[in-house]
Amino acid sequence: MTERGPLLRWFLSPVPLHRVALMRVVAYLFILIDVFLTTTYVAAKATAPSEFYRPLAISQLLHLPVPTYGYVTTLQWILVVAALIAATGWQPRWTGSIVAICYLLWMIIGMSYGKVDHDRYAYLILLFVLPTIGPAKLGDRRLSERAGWAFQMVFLAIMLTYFLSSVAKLRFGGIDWPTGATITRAVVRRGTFFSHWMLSVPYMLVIVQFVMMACELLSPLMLLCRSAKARMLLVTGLLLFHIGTYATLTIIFLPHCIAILSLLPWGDVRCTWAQMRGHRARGGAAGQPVTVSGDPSIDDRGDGTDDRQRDQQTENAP
Amino acid sequence: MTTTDTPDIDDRVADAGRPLGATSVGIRVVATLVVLAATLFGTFFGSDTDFPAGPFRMYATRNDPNGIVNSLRLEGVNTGGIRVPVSAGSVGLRRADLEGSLPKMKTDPALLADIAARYAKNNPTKSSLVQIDVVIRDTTLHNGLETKKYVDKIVATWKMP
Repeated sequence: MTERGPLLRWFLSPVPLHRVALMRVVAYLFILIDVFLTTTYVAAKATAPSEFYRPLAISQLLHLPVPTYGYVTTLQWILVVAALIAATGWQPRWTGSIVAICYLLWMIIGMSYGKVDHDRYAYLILLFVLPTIGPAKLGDRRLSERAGWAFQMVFLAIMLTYFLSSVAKLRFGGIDWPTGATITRAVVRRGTFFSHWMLSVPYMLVIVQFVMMACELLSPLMLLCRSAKARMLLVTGLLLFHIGTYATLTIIFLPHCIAILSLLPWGDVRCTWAQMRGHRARGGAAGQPVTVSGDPSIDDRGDGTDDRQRDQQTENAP
Repeated sequence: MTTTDTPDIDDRVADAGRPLGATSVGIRVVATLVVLAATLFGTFFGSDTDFPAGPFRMYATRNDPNGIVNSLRLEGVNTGGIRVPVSAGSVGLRRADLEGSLPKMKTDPALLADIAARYAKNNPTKSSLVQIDVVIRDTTLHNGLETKKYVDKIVATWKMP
């Protein structure tokens, strides 16, 4: 194989299969929460006035049916059943693909009545890349480049959700977006006990808007978070931001938060903690095979070994 | 690095322990570029109808700090002559869905008639509506702060014929 450039190596940074198995359980079970609890406005379209339906470009392109009671409820149950099966890890390519396609169709229904959200771009990407990895078992700490690509795609999508929102603010709001009253409007319309007081503090929300814009414009820097510790700090920071948004504006990017969880170094936490305690970690989960020197996951990679992999290798060396 | 032993490789895990082949890498590179191109195109040139590749425009509109914040609600009059709130959720919609259709609601009474019909179907235990008003609350801002001054105005009305 020809030598890979640094960009390609980054895109294929191998990830333990354990993390894939774990994220499958989390992402697929979240479908149930999304459908029945937190994004119920989609299911409500089974009984929405048809006069308000405004087909998206993709619906016209693919000749998708106009949402009727029959279509919405049928799709809902296929999605839910497929998600339950996919969460078990059975035939992940097939079940995962069905979930991804059904969820996209599901969201197309939700966004076809006038209001369009961008709170689940990264989650949609997560659903579409998970099936490409193939089988993965909990506790399997072998590294996979398929998984690596999938998780880097989700990382990229998470970053883009912030970065491209700032681009949209500049495009639609203009360069003076931060000095406007966009967040004021949001607090007036859907503020809470935690935010209403801000409406009477001069410049408070303008400062918030400047900070928001700056953070979003700088969001590509998050891709530099590679070590387990940096990832944990990043995830904590992002989740705190979204919890803060919920507390003040009753808006939560919940599917996006699920995608954020995929940034956590799930497979590596054990050895990171062990490192911190000064121990030499040797094992995966009890009874599971462990990546050791001699495993092709380490030894077959003369060309593209990156830092994380080297760390892992040192960590697991006998 | 030396090979000390050869552990069992689960063959069903196609790439565990092996670098991806050129074709697999190629497919992934192309997929990445396609998704990226669609997303960037949507961001710079697209509109809401291009979901899932449209611009990420929640909160992207700038509001004038000395302007007006409006929020829409529906109020109905039921068969008993009592004025009742009609939530967007009770007719299967979101408030922002209704706001998006406001221009059409003003000119096409069929939309409000459709809402009345939906309300009756979705809320069988409540008495049905003989009138629906679309109410907009305009809150005035001054230097980006709330002034507590607001006006409610009815911008569209439907009455059962």
